[in-house]
Amino acid sequence: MMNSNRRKILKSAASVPLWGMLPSLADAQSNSGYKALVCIRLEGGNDGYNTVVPLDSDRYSKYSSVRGPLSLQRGSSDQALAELPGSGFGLHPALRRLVPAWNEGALTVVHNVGPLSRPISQQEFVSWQDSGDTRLVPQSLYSHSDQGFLWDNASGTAMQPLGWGGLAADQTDFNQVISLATLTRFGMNRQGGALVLPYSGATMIRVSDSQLATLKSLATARTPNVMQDAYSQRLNMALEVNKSFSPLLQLPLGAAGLASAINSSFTGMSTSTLTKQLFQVAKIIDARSMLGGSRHIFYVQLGGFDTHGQQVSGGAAHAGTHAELLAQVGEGMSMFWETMKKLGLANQVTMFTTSDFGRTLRSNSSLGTDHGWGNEQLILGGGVKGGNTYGSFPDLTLGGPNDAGDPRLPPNSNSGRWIPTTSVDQMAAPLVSWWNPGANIDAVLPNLGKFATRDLGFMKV
Amino acid sequence: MIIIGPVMLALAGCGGAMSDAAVSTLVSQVSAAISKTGGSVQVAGSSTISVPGATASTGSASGSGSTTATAPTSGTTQGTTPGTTPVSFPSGQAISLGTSSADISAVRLANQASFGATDALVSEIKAKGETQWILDQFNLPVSRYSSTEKTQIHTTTNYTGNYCVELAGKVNFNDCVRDWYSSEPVKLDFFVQATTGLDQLRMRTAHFLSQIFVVSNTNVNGTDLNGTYGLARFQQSLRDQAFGNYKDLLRSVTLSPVMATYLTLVNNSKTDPNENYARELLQLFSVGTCLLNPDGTLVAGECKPVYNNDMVRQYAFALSGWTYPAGGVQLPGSSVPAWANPVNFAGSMKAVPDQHDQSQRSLLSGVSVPSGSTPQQALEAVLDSIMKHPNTGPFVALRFIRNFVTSNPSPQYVARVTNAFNSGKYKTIGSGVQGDLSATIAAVLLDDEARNLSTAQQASFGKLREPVLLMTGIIRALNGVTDGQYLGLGFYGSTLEQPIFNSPTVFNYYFLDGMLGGKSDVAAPEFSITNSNATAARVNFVQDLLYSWNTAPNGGLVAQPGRTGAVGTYLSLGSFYQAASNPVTLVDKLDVLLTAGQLSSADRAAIVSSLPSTANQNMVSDAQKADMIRQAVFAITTSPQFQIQR
Repeated sequence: MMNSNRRKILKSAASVPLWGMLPSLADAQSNSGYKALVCIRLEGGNDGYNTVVPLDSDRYSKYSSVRGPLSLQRGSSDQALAELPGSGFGLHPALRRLVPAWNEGALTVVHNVGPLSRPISQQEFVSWQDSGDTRLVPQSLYSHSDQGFLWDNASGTAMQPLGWGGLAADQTDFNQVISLATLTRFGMNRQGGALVLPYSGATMIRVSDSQLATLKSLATARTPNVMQDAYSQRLNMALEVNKSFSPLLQLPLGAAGLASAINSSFTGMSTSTLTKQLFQVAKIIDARSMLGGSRHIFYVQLGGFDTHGQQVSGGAAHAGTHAELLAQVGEGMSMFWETMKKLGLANQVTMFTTSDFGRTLRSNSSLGTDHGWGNEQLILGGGVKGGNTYGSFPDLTLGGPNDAGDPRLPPNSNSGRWIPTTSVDQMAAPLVSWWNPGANIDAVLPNLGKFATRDLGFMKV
Repeated sequence: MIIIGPVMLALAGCGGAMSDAAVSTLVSQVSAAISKTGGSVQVAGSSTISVPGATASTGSASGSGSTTATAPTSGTTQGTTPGTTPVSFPSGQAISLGTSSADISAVRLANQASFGATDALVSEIKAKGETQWILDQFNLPVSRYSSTEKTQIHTTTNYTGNYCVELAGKVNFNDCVRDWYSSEPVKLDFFVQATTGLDQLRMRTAHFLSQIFVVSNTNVNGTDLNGTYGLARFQQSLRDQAFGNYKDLLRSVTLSPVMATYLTLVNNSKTDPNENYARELLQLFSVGTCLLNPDGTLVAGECKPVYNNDMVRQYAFALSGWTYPAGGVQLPGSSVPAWANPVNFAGSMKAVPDQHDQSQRSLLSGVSVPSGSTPQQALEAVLDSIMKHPNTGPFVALRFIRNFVTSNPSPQYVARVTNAFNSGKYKTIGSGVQGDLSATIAAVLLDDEARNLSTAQQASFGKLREPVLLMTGIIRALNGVTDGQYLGLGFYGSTLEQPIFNSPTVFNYYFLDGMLGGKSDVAAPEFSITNSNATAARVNFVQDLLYSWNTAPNGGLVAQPGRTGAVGTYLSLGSFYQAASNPVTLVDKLDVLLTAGQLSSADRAAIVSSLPSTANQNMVSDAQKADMIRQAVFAITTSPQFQIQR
């Protein structure tokens, strides 16, 4: 554990960033040796099987016959699937603006990935699914909260309180995940939780100097009560953030104190909360010497993906709720990617998506989908070994060999929920190794050893 | 469909003001959206209110009637410096509470069972005794939400589909959207009634129930626009049933057209139902995911699943065959299955036997839905299976205790409350029917673990005040008045991370079983929304009430310009003047009223010595007393001893 003073998040209490001088600050920073991961959580369960769709006739016809009115079309129009040339797959048309990143070799897909306690075949799943033994089958499949925790803690049990982001950070010179969203379990380690910064611009603590002194004495007071003590620590963190981060977080798009790389790339940004969060991440990365540390992990989140109903707008599968959400994802990721390239950090920063679970291939009669398991995730950064997708795309047969269902049951009982063929651990490991080549991977991902392939190979070594 | 982004928080210091031009743009975007016929309209809530700026300019866009104000300036030294501004508060009747253990005990019950202790409430509890006070609370008339009859958005015939377009020219458009589609009117009623209403225990219980049976007026696109009257009716039904029976409550919630819309149960197909409501009914409203002992601990110390996905599907089929009650009007451009009724939130869902699954379904607890059932029969089987399940009692008991008393009860305490729930009785209180909520509540509040002052001193006892209770607690204790305007979405409700009636998901503003994390393995649900921004907002809230940013003489949040009936939020510290003649007395009394005596004598002495003092306290002017009181209140309400309710 490198940084012994856990709560001193700044290099020096006396250092006050001079935001007007940011451009030269950026010049002075070294780019080499810095790495950042950006975890983009699509909360609610992103429908991966309308995010990444096979284009070959056999698989596409299986997809569209099951998906029915939710089927996206192939073709060359803007409303059709956006082909990732050479991959055999297309992205939801709302993600079309990510295709250039694929062509640059910076984008890839990990297929059918999700929480696993251990590798499991369909036959084993049928036998074990009701066992309640989390060494065999992950806890509480299809529950938002539990599955979300399993993506955060890379294990089969939601009771495990530490996140792989926090554990990975613990091994570096900056031991907190930086979240622009929630106090996510992804950032939890033994020292505490993520540093949560407000993407909307910090609420300044509006007090006089004498009141500030009162607050500081309260924030350092220790009482025997666990709750009161925890609150004091939160107050302390609020004072730190207030003092150190507020000026940076307040800077609006176009401000003179921001690098032109940021201002130009985020021009025209919508009011999407995800884009706003990534805007803040870009600023923080650009001003990273203020934070100190050569390794950062960021966490951002977009909600609303739980599309049980009205996932598409009737008659137009390319439009509707899911499309609107993915448009935000596309905007945020592409603007952020542009910024990293312009800052010379393309090979230093990698984004990856996570989500509670994928959704049923079979749509329901509310024009939506229900909770699934294995999902499709995107990875984007210069460190990606592009040109290919990774993992194994499921056989889309309902009740087929990849279905977390039972082939003996009547057709309506199998919904197309996929038993993952790649685990969260296996997706996390190459990311952590790329990010911190010296990492003790097994301390971050203790279950990794249960899976045959430790390194899927989607990151350049 | 034009989507306008989520409500914007104009709290930022630099460049955060919403200019007149921006508001005009918003209004024209909204008008353009509304003029499209049919479909749904998604408009950002009109409450882009910010704190009135120090420059006192509250310039609203012409004719909009809603919001804009300039934001406070940034920097760390702001506001009035204590002692230099001649401010005083209206004198009031001096507070009567003392500092005895009887006072402390009464404050504690008030904090556990109401929206916050007041001097008057403390006197009442002391006079009646705790049990009698609770019994009296059971019998008080029910406070009522005022928007329940505004059904015209769904019942008006022959119109384009948006009620506010119909009223264009007669009523300001933004105001119409706010008053007929948003949660604003319900929020206003909530806070006015929470701070002044007499049926405190009932409203507090309903507030807790609304965090189990979550319906959010925020839909997927982050807009607050589902229909005011529906939200009002749903919240009223929780109040009406707060002391009734949990089974009846489950039935009523399941048949609520509002809940059925939120969790996509309405018009669910019998051949291919979605699983949304069925799953959350089990996971969040009744049994949870892991088998529980009666004392709330996990059976065999680990999570043994209560149900699998197949079971969820059984419930989904069993709950098919319900549509909206009759009376709604089909909106142009919207499509409704032939057998279904158009949207209408007034009443309970209507059964459609032809659309109900006819197979036999095996549910939990050995209960079955027979083949050929009616929707009503299947629903009763669903409810029976839940009430027969051993998880329901501890599931409900644990959540009650966590929301009213302490985040980490002893298993024995939980078991006692489970027993009251299951037997329907706590001592002589309750009907004797399983699921009796009055017995459950009495068990929660009158249990020795809740009442015993020594237990309250244990290291893990207590809970962080959730933002709503924080705000009402401060306003009530300090004789405040509020119209609720700034306490919800888009203002303090958002920065404090609990925008009432706009929970981000059905999992509530915070996980009800959230853990503290880090080295501590204790439950601390409210901490999961207490990030650095929300903590700063807790400080700012107090600061704004005591030392406001406008020129109003008594501090506080100024009434929103142009809104009829607006009064803002103000404290009234006059009743503390007498106590302020002696700073030691003042701090001692504030300590009891606000923290139930949690401040140590060293803490109190430190606060006293920080107050401005004069040689002869009896010669202190009212203005000087006001400053002294404000300073003491600031120090106490920002302290962990106040933020954590014990």
